[in-house]
Amino acid sequence: MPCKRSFFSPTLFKKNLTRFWPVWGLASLGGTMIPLWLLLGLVANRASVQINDHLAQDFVQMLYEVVAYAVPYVTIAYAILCAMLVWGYLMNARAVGLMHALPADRTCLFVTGTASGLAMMLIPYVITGALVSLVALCWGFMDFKAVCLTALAVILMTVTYFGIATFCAMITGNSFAVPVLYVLLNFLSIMVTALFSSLYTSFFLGVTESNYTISSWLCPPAKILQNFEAVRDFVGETYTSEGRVTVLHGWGTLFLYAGVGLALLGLSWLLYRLRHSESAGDVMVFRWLRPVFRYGVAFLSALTVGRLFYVMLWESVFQKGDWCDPVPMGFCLAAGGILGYYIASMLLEKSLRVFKGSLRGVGAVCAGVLVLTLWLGLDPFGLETRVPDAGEVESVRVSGYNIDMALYAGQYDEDIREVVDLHQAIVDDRAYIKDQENIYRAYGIPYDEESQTEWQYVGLTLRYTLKNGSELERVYNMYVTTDRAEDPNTFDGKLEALVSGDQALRARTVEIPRGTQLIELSVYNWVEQAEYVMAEDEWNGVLDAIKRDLAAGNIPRASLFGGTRQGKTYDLELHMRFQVRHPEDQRYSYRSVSVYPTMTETIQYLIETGYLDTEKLMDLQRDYLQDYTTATGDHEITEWGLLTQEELQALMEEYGALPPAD
Amino acid sequence: MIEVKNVVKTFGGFRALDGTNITVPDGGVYGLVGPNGAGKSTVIRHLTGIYRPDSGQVLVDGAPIYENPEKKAELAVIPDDWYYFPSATIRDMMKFYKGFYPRFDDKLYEKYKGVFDLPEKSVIRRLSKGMQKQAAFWLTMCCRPRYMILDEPVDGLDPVMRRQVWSMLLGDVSENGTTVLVSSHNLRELEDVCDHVGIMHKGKVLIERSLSDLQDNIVKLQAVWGPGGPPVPPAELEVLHTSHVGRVYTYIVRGKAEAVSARFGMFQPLMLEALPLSLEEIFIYELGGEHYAVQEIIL
Repeated sequence: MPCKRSFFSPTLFKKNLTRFWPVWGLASLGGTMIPLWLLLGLVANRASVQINDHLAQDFVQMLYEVVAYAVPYVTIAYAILCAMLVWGYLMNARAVGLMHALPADRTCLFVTGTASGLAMMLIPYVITGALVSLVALCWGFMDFKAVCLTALAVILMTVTYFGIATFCAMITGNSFAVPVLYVLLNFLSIMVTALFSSLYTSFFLGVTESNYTISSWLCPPAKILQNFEAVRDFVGETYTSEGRVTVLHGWGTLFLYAGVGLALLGLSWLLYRLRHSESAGDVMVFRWLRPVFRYGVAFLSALTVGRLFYVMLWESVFQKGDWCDPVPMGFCLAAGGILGYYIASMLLEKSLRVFKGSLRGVGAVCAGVLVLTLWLGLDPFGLETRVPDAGEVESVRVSGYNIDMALYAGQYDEDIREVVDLHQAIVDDRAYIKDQENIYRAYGIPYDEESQTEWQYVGLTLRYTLKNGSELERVYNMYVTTDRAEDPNTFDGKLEALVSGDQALRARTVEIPRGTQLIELSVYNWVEQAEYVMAEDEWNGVLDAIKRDLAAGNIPRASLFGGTRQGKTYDLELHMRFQVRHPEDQRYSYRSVSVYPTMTETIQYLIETGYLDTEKLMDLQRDYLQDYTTATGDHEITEWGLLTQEELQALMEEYGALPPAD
Repeated sequence: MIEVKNVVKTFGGFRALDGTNITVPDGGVYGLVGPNGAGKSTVIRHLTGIYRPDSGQVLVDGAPIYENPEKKAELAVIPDDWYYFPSATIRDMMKFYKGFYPRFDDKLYEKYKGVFDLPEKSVIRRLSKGMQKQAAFWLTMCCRPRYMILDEPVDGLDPVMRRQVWSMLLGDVSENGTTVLVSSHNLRELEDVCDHVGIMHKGKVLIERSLSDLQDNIVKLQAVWGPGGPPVPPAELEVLHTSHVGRVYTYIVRGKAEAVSARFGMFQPLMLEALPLSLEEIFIYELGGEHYAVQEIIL
């Protein structure tokens, strides 16, 4: 019996599948390329193939990599196609007339449509999976658990994206609008965040783009691709290829979005029951969504088209430097917003005659743009000038040119005060920084032959964690000059003091970053281009040696103005690899410590342990002098290694270059 | 019985149905007539459960039709713009209908195959408009509905096929007691098949009666008067229209033919004859004084 108070119509289900077979048939054909490729590979290598764990592991890895890195892309595109096909009748007045006149209620049509869409999506995967499994069974490397997990991941992604696509189909009656809404629903949060961030970072010095924490969660494709991954990892302590397995991480994300997909399907069912058949062809089928659409399009248009207007009509013609001017920006945003408002109105009304009575809406758009422009121009909430009080700071990470350190309240209070002081100086000098950047961008760096002033374009990131748990990040890119750096009251001077300070030096050398542990230490010889991993029992020895050098002032301090002041190096680096102390989170950080001739304690230890052979190093430097030295246009040698002045001069004469200035 | 009670339907500010009331008695053919834009198709979409009324009720056998699969299974429709799946053949659509309508009659399908003589396995969209209409009729009849709703059912059919379709329809009505509601703006065609007629204009049903009531209650008299000329018609008679060609006078009078003839006979005309009015004439004279665009309805 058909849909007589039934929730499912076999007739409609069958009709949907038979009507749209070319789509899922083609998808299935595409899917069969995987087992075919696998089969051909196995047949071609038949002689060398042995049934062993390697093959089984490779099979699992292939499945997991496909499901983690290929299926999300395929599913996101295929879901909208299937949804457009099964819900296409809602977009056509004649078709909706046929379907809604049938002896079936909306629930039955919805359930059947959903089942048809999901079936159309899953059939190609089932066929592909079955054939892959068959090949694996025949060759004896079938892994049922991996196949089941792969199938589960596919089902979860299918539900997620089909749910989103169905929701889009339920709120519009226009087939062209369905994919547009689908893209917006999937990526709108990221798009808006990026557009909005790009706008305010063009006004506010140091304010960074949003970190996308919230917006990425509102963007299922981004979060799924980010969190759901096939990871090759070692089992237990066995660091051999036999001990390596591939596992899927990020199931929580997948289940979460599948839940969202299911919720959207439930919501879509309610919307389907509410939507009127006569809305076929309308861009928005519910009246309450029309203002959302109208002003949403106006907002997006302001941020995109308005911004484009600004770039074309103001930035490329009148603007100097990178910093935007609020008044012209306001006019351009308003123009873009109004344009978007009228386009949205035309789409909603299906008519070009939308100007009559639109003043109120246009006024609302202009008012919104005015508020935005005032905010950008005046910064009433102090976004740009926000500097935390030193007492508010729990920790701050300072990173940038020649500096990378983390400071914690209670341990480095004085250093934190220095950082906050520097931050305040930057904020106070923001007009100067912007002007300098504008001038340098427009006219280049002023060059004065007589002047001894050096300049440097430096980046500085300050990442605060405040005691209330919030975070504050500022990123500055500034021109610093040697003459200003000599003045301790300028930000240049404060930054130079910080970069060359004791804590910066400790952080660059011996300090183990908090929350991490040292897991690898190696000596890298640049001349040999070889890395020697140190035994774990040698780590403390070398760290102690560095500490002694640090205490004795043997380690050159860094400067904002290049490495030329750092003197000779041994062409040796100590590479340290730290792992963040979290069993689930395998993040690493790295540090390189250059070994300078002045670091006598460290050199002594490296010689004792056999990692440094001075004679060998000098021989290599002689052999590869052309790679090792660098000369300026004046033939002045700017870097050298362990050779004596006499040796170097002799070699340079041989190569036709002048010896270095004494 | 189909009942439409005070149904209001608005499309973006336009009131397509404005308190529409229709009662379709069982076992007859009801003609719903009206000019373009009167709301006929909107009423039909309500009757078939496609549209949900803003207010009012659409009942079939006393139960709301909207979201009521049981009642909808007893009702089949041929819309003016019948939809079929783009690559479907008549046979495909037959299977589709068969899956939904529990009383679908395979034998009838086979029987009508010879009547309609349509290429059953050809894609419907490749058929002519008239052939598509025949296909819709064929399939709808096979659903064996208790109620059949037809929107301009014979548009595009040749005269022979029109006659055949009407004949099949009336045969079904008499054999199975099917109730038919036909929407059309062709009064002449409806006159031959309808038992009841409703006239729609601007979203309202202006008049709804049985055809016999309408025809019995209005009469056309042709009279030839002597040299004294025509008398003044009696005041108690409601004369809707008077015209003359030479000495032949034509009166459209509300009332029974016998009574009106007897009253006019008292003036001793040289000749007096009562003639039946066509449905078209009845509507013109019934509604002529109502300030409605009656010509528009008829045309």
